[in-house]
Amino acid sequence: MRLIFLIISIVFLIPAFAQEPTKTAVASKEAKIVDEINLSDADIEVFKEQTKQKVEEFQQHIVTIGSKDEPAEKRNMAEKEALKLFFKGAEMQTSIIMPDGAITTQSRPMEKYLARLKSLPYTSVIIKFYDLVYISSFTKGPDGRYYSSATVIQEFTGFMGDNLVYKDVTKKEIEIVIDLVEDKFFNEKKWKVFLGNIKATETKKA
Amino acid sequence: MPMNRLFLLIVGLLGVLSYLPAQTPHLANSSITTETPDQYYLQVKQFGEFIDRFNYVSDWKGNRIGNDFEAKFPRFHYLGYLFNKEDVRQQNLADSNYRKLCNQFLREVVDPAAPQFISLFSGQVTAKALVNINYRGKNQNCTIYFLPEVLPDRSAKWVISKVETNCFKTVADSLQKYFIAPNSHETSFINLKRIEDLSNPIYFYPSTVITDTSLLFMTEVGTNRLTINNIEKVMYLITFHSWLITVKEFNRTSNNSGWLISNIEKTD
Repeated sequence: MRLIFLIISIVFLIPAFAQEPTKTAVASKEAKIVDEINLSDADIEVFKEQTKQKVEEFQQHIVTIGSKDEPAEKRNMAEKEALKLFFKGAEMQTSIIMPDGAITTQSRPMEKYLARLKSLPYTSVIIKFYDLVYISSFTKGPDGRYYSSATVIQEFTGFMGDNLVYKDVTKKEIEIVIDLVEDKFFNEKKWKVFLGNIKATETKKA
Repeated sequence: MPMNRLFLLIVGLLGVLSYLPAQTPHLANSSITTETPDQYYLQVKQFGEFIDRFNYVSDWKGNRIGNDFEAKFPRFHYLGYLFNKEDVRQQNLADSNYRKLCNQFLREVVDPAAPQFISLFSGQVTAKALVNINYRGKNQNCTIYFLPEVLPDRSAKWVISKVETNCFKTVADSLQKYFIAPNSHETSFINLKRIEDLSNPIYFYPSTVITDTSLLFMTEVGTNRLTINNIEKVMYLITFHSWLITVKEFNRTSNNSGWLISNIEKTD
């Protein structure tokens, strides 16, 4: 009887001792913490693949929105679809190299950025992305979502008639949020990739 | 083939096609991508990539480092690519002190007996951001320090650890204007009600608290007198045993670009 009481006491006491206060991580627990807050390699691969698909979807929409050759309906549809990829309130921050070498930074809501992309003052536009997509590791946030960031590099060329009048290469850092959302049709929860704020840095101007 | 059978075949094919998922944009993206120039592989594109390369986890393409890569680029050699090569202290042949210091650091990092690594969540990394703000209608700047914090459920977040700015100099004037008079205890602190008339009642706290820039920053944000314009730049300070390294982003078109070590200091 005593033994049973002892076992029950230990079972109830362990969770109480396991509770740790909130604290800034300290070096002694470094390895353990890093192992636990990061996902398994298999999970990371799945999330990375999903992120890559979502980023490529966004890239495709950007190209369509910017293309003056596409019908207005298709470009409007791409704009609408692109917005669906983002969390509400996502912003685009752009850094532009001025003629004197100074860098100016400007933030716009994603809706405005995409609408502006549709009406750039060129007769034709070519947007290409480099085939490299770098995705960082995924870390759990206090809200239970997983956070990461993806880097893509975009080459933009603007023409007036046959003349190339503007060309730049921009590095885009895209916030990635993986959220557990309810699929009402299948009555289950699924991880879904969303895009967040984007920081665009101009790296080269031709 | 009789006409009616051909018609059925076409209808059947269309039916199968209609059940297949619509072509998703990512499947058709071959026309929107182009080959990445080498310099963008070599560029350290994210701070996380800097850590992965420093820790000898990933190669230039982001793949895990294997035996072949290790044979070609030992860690000591690979780490050399993480330094800002355009630093005059690296280029000046007459002054080798900084280069010697860098070599000493690298030797300690790759020491087989006690190799050094960077862990974002271990407390060795601090982010320092230069932030443009608007305070009482005037554009100014401040420096905000961020630290990663790990919570009991093993989730993580960045927290603001310190704010440095000169824009709260007017606080000294306010200290002479807003206070609880020294004889207030005799009237049971009746003038405590003055707090209600103040836009920022923090002035009633001890001087040590109200001259705390980090606290003032938050209370002024709360009263909408301070707004954030934009983040001008970010750098990272990383501490090792007796070393402090600074990592900055070098935005230029060369193989030596992106997040690189801009300074190394010995701290003991």
